[in-house]
Amino acid sequence: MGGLLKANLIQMKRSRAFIVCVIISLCFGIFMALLYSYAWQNNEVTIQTVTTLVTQYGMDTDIVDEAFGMLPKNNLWAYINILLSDGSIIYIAAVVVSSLAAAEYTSGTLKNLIARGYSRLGIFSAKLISLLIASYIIAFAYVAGGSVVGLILYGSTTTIDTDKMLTALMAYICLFAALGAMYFMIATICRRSGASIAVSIVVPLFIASVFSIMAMAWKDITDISQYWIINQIVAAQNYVLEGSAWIPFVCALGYFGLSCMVGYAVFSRQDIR
Amino acid sequence: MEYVLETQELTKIYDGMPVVDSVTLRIGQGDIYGFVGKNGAGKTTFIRTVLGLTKPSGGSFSFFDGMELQQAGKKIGSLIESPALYRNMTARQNLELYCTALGVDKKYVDEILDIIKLKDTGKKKAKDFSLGMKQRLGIGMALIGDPELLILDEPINGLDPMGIVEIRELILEMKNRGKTVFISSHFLGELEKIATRYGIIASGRLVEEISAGELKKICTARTIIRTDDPQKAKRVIEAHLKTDAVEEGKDSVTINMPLEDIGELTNKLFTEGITVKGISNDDNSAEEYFIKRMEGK
Repeated sequence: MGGLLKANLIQMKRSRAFIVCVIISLCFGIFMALLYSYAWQNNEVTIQTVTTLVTQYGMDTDIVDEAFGMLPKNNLWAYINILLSDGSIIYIAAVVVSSLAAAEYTSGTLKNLIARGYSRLGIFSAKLISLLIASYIIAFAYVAGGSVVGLILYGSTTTIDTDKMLTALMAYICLFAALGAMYFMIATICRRSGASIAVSIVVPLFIASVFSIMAMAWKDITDISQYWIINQIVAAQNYVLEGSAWIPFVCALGYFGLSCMVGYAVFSRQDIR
Repeated sequence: MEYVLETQELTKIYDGMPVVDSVTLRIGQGDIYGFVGKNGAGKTTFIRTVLGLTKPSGGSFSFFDGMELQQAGKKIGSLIESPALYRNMTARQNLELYCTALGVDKKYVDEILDIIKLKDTGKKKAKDFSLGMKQRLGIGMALIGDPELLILDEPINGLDPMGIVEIRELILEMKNRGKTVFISSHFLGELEKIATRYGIIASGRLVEEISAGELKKICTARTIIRTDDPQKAKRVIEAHLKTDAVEEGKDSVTINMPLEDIGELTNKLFTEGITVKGISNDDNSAEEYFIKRMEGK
């Protein structure tokens, strides 16, 4: 499997889509840092606007304090948290994972490996690991770009303890692994880059939206919707700060396991062309 | 080694229809095995099944005297349908990447580039290659790891005459190096130039296996006699040879007899007053033979 993994990483390095997405992530991180800085400068107006919107949708206004409460603290940790939880990176990760995973189907190179006697489990595992690395590189570029600018704008003081910081970061790493596995599963089912990208972007966000709307209609749904992976990514830091760090970890494990099982079950039965 | 590929009652069913139907065959070491069949006869499905790209519905297959694909895979190179290439990479990068994936030393890349005549393509990306170049690179990928068995599915499809000659020479070169080549094609004339053994597939069933020697015997055993009166000639020959296997043409008759044995028969035709305008071997008979067998005749 070592050779397969190495070949996947070389392929990733030479992929134009991947390089472009890394650059976009970096720029997007910087852009978000500047945008948040501007939002902070116009803090009062922004908070008022968001509070109005939140009230209109019948949601608890505590969410506004949670979101904007970090900015005034002017610290890097809070900033990284905001970057990771704002959901923007999900789009870019979806594009990268889907295009890299589906590329093997569209170029037909997958059949070269299977015809050489490689086990489908080995091929699937090597691809999964390389795609997780790809999504971490994308997330890192996004956070790194934003953090450097954030560091300049906000300084490096931190208001929460190191243990919680590391726990939250670990939670994000696990949740991103689960998200990557889910995108890979979608690409395995769709087989085409365009379809995989479209489904990866639209479906998870569509489900998140449906849950949100359902939560407004039926209060009981709120309990279910919070376990949806997109909502977990948005709220991971809150679980850690509230002392319920196990929730994002268990969710990540569940989504990762389920996505891998479904993805491999499909892949192992597929006719490869 | 007794055989490099053996299938027993191999079957693949799609939507209730057998696309490969109980195919049992054996390919010996050093053979160039021509797998002949019309489009849709089941050639590619058979290849895809033995290479693990699709699961068989029934039967079994093994390589190199009983090895499964997972053990034997490193000794098998293949080109299935269109060549599978990384389009945004050069020929060298494609080969090197495949070497990395297979855990094979990259030092053979130069030699392979030389064999497939793509050494001078420099930084040109695979997506900018001509069809022939892509096909050659596909064969180059199959050659990585110095495989003992090459499985090539329609390797000359879409090639110009020069490209066809190059691929033919490449296959013969592989045979000279002691490789076994399994080649599927519907270009019968081309296969005739290289194959040592044939398998004829029709509607998923292997209708016949025949060696090149046997085929030659059958084909050279057919002689065309051109005459003014083919109807009378047919009658005379059938009476003389006590057979009804004489084909009557517009100005000729074709008989299942080698050219060298025809002397006595021509004398008989002369004595019966039939003018013989010419005598020749039936050059197209191998192709006709294949076509008839493919049509189940």
